[in-house]
Amino acid sequence: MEGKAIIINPDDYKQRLLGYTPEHAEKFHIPAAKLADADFRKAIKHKDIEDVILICGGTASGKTEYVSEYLLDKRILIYDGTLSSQEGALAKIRNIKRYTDKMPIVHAVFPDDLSRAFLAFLGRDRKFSDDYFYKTHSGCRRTLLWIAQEYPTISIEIFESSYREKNGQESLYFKKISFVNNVGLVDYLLSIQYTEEEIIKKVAL
Amino acid sequence: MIRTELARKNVDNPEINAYVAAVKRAQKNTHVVPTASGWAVRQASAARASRLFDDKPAAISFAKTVAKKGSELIVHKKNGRIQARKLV
Repeated sequence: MEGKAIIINPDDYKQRLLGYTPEHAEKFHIPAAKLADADFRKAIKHKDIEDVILICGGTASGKTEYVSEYLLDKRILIYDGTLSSQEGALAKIRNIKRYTDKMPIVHAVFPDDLSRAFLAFLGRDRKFSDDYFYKTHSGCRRTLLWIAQEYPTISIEIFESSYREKNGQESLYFKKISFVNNVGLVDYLLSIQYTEEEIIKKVAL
Repeated sequence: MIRTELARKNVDNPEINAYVAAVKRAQKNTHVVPTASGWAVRQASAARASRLFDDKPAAISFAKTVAKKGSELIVHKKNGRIQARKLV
């Protein structure tokens, strides 16, 4: 992906690791995330960055596709991860506040249909166990609710991905979901909290 | 709560094209899934199961005969999680 934005995506770091193959992508996730986090800490200190955006969403929800479509032409730093653990989110928020005078902005991408996201997950080259799908889709929602409740000054923008046919071609589209206030946002986030078992039921054939 | 459609900027976005290709690839897969009364063999894109079985080995044997070449045969556990994936 090309543009003005600096993008840190743990998936990109996997390919730099010795022995990486898409079929064994899961084994390389933790070392790749550590490298990505280290580069993120360095990139935060760039003086000409206007904003720092943390992307949030389960695997195959359309995050990278959203970034490539709407954010590349901005002078921003983007961490394109799932934000599925509170510890990871907290470390990033603390680093941004420590090294910059900016508040992070969170852009979350949720699929309108988890079954479709599961299909994309199963069909792509990078192979992960299905546990990774359930964990990230459950965890990212929990983390985002926690951020909304603990850090009301952090701006959170919600986007919904949908997969549909238009002009005879299937593609991915995005809607922005807006709320009148933080209470509305928190209510929405409460309504989309799912355990891993609930995610499994939603994607079951 | 208001939903506002965002206009697509790049109709030939390679990231989105790869996503669409992944969905289409997975739609060709064959799944062996638990049901209330036994096991079912289902194509991912089909609205209904192609056949129902009392026991799992019989369902897997049948799934192997109907799975499309180049697709995956995906066998689930009783709890819905994936037990095994195999390229056909």
